[in-house]
Amino acid sequence: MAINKILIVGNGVDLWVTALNLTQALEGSGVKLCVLVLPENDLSLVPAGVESLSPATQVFHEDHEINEAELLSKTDGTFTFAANFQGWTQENKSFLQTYDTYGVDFHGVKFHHFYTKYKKSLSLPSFDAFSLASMAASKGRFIHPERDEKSILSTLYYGLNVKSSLYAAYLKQKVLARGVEVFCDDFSGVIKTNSGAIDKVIVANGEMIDADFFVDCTGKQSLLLNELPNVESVSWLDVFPGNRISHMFEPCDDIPVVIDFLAKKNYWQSVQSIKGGKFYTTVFDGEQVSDEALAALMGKDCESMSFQNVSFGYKKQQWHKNVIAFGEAAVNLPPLLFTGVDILHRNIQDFLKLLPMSVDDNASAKEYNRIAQGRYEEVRDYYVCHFLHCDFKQTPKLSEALKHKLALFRDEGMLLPQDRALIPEPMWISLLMGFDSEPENYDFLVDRTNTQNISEKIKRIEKMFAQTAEKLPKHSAYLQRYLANVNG
Amino acid sequence: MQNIKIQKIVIVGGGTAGWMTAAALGNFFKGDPCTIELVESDSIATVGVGEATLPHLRHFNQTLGLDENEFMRRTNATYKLGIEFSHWGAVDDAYIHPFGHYGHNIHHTGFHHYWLKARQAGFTGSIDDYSLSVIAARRGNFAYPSNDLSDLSSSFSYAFHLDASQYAKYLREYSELKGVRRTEGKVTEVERDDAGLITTLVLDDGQKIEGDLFVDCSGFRALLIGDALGAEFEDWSHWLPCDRAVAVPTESKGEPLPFTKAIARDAGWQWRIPLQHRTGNGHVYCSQYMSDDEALNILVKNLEGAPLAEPNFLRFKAGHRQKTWDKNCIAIGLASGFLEPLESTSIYLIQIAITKLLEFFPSKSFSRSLVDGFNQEMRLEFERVRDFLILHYHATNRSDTEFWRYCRDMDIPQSLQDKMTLFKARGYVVEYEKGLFLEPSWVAVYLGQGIIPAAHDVRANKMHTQELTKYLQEMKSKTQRIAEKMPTHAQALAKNCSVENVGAVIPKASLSLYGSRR
Repeated sequence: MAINKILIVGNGVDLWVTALNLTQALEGSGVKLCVLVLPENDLSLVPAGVESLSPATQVFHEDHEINEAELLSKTDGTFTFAANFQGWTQENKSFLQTYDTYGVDFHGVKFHHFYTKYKKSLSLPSFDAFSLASMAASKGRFIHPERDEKSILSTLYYGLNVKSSLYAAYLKQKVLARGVEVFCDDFSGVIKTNSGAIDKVIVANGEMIDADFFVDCTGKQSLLLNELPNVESVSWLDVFPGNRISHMFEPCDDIPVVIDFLAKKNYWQSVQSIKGGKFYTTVFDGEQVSDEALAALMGKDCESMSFQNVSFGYKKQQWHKNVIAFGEAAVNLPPLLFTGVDILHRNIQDFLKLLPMSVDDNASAKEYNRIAQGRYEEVRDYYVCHFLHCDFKQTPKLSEALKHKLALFRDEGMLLPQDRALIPEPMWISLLMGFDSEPENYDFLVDRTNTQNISEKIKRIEKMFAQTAEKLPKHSAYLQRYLANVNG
Repeated sequence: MQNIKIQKIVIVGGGTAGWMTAAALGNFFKGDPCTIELVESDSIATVGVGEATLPHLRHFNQTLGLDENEFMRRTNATYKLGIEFSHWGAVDDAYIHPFGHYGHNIHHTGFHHYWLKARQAGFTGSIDDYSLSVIAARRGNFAYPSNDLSDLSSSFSYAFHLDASQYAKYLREYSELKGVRRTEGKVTEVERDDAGLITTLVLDDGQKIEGDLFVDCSGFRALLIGDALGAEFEDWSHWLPCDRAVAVPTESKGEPLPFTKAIARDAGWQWRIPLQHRTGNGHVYCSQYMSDDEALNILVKNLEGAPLAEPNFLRFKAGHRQKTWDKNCIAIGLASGFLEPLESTSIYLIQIAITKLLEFFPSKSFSRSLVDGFNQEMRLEFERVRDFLILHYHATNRSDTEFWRYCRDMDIPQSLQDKMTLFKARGYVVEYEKGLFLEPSWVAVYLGQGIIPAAHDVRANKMHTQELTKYLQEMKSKTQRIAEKMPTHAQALAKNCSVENVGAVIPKASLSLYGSRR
């Protein structure tokens, strides 16, 4: 039987990102799409959440002709240039990680090799002084990148912070404008076919919606996927410290251009800023620290915080029979720089390429799950590097691939490119450089370059970035002007 | 702690692998205190197959700073737009695996999906009509691809047919000019230190050659990596059962074709490689299903021109050493493994090993992470080429001989089985970035050998059949027009390889099998 109708079930950002992607891709293809929107409840959604969107999301926005200024104005959005990591390697040490490439390559050799060689002899500042975005971020400044490749500003990359509920609502409008059939009701169960696949979804009022293929965007509950037997979960409980998560929104006028990531003795935390406030996501060990104690440690009012148990990890068979899970229904990521939305876009593209022509397409499911699993392992390894020199009791367990990656970087300053990587190489480099996993040796080609010359160039870059950053507009002023221009 | 630099590199063996390595290292270390010495013996013949190359070789030559036309004159080279496979999927079938794209992507969806959609609606045209390489090759034409990426003429790339022994000679001169020292002699003994690292080679005349890093280019003999270090060989001959070849050069007849021929025979296949001054011929076969005499008979019967030399018999086994780098020794070329020359990958595998050696260039500490990284990457290269080669044998409807029945029915690697299943269902080609053969190549062989997907990417439905038919027609005639305007291969050779044309501007090479245009 061919796939003629796909039903997407869920709510929030996951649902609407998925629906918009699929609608655009499948319009005119003969495959009918409909959406079942579930009411939001405590289990499915994080109240007042914020999405940090990486530069890659801008491609998605362009594809859907989303005007950035309009988007920002409708989602309380702000720009981000960097992640500000504080206390991850040493108590008072902080590091700014941006999306761009640090420094400048000389003679085809990457900058971090030169940095490694000259760090001591030239008393170079922290590695993040060699990123323009980082220098701008440290001064609370922002500007859009220039298209002209000759401009120093062309190297900038930026992300966005948007309020999750508003972002979902915004994308929803885009989906509705395309005439997609939408039902709103609660999920109450499914009816299966003889082969164990899902035949129909039953909603609260007893009505049934049939489809050939089902997309599960129901968040952590994985409502559809969990209806199928033998879906295994891979837990990262032994990888990342903490088993409980807390959320809190705090009104505030200040809009920094960074996302703060804090590592404290008993918890770690992300602080995302949008217009009007800050959103705190805190992970801690519920057996060591009570909810009240955490609130006290943070110096916040426990009443204003929500708490849940958390287990990071993913579903091994996220595509199983005629169900595929996207977003949090498939993977629950720790609150660090790459968020679910970035992965979601990539996963949807892979799904589209494999879009089954028959309901029981095991080969596609196998291939998709293989790709998705590789992607989660890549992100997991990337996240693990944040905790290598952390003061938490638990030492993370390293995969063989990560052990090799770290050894090769330590021994030679080298990284092997990964097939179809999600995380760009410059971000691996800045992460390892910033998190005390610096190389012990550098590329021997560095010694072939004229020392005097290179020293001067390194100094000049540092100065140029600092001076350029100083001249950029303040983030708040820039944002205000940017939105005013469009609204007016 | 700074690692101690390698000061002396010793290369063993002076065939194509040895002199390519010497040239690349010589160029790379020019003016550096690191010295390079190559040991070879005039009394040891080189294998010298691999006269057909891939477009990547142009990148190698350009990195060395060789003038392409000069190189062609020196090696009697001709141009190559692809490989024609005949009788593979079925007797009397033929297709060309081109160094180029078919059409181009529309709405993030590969061109072949659109072609499949049209085909399902009754369209009967071949996908070849949308490959500029195939159309030009069939007409016997050749021209450089365009540098303008918006131009259809940039949708292909090209390689060469060359005389490998002349190429080695040419690179020897080049290497010696770059300061590489050549030493005549046979290695009789390999001395190692307590940690097992090679320290010294003893030659037949008693000479001792010391080194920090040893590159084993000794061919099938694998003097260092095999004999001395005992690196394990992983046997792939159950998937690629051909284990012998017989080669004969002949006089050329007619104008040289701008492509290699790979003609399937009863228990193997025959190559035909046109050079400027002669044609290279050979017959690769499986000794389990065919005797040497039969193999030679078949080859002789199917020669176009008069033989220029006695037949040369070769023996080999498909497979790969699990570690091509062990301790302070790196194997490059046949010493590292063997995959039959069906897709002209021999010289490519040498080139990629050299490229990776430079990328992973060690210090005297030979850190384990570095060695592991190199081995991991080379293994992936070999395995991905391997799967692609097996596809040629396995994707067949031939049942006319025992050999072809074996190939059709044999178990194949799971990685390949999965790829084929996915293509059969909807034309999906497993995506990767590391590796030689990407989507256009897989599509060429699948379709060329009769694997037609049951369906296509549903996004191709966004283009209506009428619109699609019109698009295909326009695309076809445009491709045709460009191919027609190209000079013949012989004209292109005469012009480009003339003395006055040395130093002329040549399209920039890239490390890709296909053109720059997507």
